[in-house]
Amino acid sequence: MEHWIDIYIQGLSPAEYHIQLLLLCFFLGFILYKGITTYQRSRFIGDTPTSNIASAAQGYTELKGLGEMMPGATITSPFSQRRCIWYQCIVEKRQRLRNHNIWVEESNEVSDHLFQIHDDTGTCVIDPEGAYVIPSSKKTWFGSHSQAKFQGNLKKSWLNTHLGLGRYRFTEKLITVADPLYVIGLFTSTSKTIDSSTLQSEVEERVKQWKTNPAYYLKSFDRDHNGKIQGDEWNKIRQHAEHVIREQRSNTFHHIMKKPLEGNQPYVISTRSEEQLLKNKRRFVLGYLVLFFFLLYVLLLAVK
Amino acid sequence: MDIGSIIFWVVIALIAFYAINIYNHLVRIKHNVSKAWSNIDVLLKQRHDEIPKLVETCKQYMKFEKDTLEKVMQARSQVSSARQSQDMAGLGAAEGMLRMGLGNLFAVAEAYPELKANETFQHLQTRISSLESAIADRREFYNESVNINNTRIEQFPDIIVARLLNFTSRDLLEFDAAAIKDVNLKNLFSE
Repeated sequence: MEHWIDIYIQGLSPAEYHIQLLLLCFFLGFILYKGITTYQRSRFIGDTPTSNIASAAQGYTELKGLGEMMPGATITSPFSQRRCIWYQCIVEKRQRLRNHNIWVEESNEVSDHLFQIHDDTGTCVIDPEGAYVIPSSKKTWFGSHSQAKFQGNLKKSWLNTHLGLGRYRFTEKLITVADPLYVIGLFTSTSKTIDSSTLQSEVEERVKQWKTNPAYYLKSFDRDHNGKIQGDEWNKIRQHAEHVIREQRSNTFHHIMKKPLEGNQPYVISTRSEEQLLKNKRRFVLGYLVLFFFLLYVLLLAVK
Repeated sequence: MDIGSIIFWVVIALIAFYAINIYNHLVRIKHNVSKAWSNIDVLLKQRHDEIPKLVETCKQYMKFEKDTLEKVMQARSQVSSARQSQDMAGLGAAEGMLRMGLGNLFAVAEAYPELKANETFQHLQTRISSLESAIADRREFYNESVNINNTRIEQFPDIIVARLLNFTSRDLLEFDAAAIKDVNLKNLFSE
């Protein structure tokens, strides 16, 4: 090893030697930084207890559940048109650079649509902006023109799939409905406050709704049993409607999970379990550590 | 300085950094446990304030159930003193008694239709029941936080930092098995 490095350095000009030494130092620092941040993330994931959505405390929290679409929303992947709750679609073009083929990114569309996670106790809205997402499905295919991005579902030849024939490469990453999710991030809850004008209109709406069922309406509010709602009975109906609306609202909390304000706390949305994530992160930390010491050894031999 | 000693010092620096990092994470875990406890504590306080109102309302109708009402009030004060001293074993036992007492109270209230129809009673019953299920949910979270803390401080290499800097294990909050069981209505009314 020492011998090879000596031979390599002798073949370099002084300027080349200094530039490559600088690059090696930079890379060493980068590997150290990556190792430390990956380790920190693994500790955050491992050390944060899992909360139930209904009783989760405000702040940095971890949730587990199933992915759901927001009520009334429909999200489809721009490439395959599959229904999903999150997508990332990448188009890359093959280019030649100094006799090498490289893939240059032409477009990268990441979903910023809100979706939900649901557990046995409740539902929480997920804002995927700024999250590190681990999808449940990742598909790559190649094509000779950019419109081949719609052909992800077509059966492709072995050559096309494995040798990457075609000038364009398409990657589609998806999280689909009912995928098991692990989410760690900043959890906040808000309850809807009631202003008097909306309350009045809601009370009227509720009373109208009750009127459509005369049997219930008269039985409940016609206290003098004369078959009509009159005088004080009107006030009672309105009071009751207001009470029902306030009760319902006080029990309605909206939970949202988003990117933490503190930069060192990871925001992760994963379809892999916590255990799988931790195992993966530990492997990476070990890999970075081995690489760091190898590069340090090379650097020290080079400056000797 | 030769290559060996440079690598040696780099390793020492990394170990020092690693130890500092372990310390910071142990502090974070310790605060997670305290936060999880505070989340239970606030609900216990709220329920502590609601129970006298419930007992007062019941007294107006349940003149012959003095014993049931007294048991609830006794259990309430035991929960309160265990909560203030953060004695988890005591709190678990007192909580068991209180839950059983409240279960009995609500079961006995079935025999008093006027009390059942009282709006204040209905409101307090709903409020206390919802506080109890929230306490049960947060107990799970508290126990998971304690479990992470206790596991970390016994794992290598965290154990070295934990022993040197006096990080201690915490007690799980476990309710008595009797409190988790459903109230036996048949036995209750045959007494």
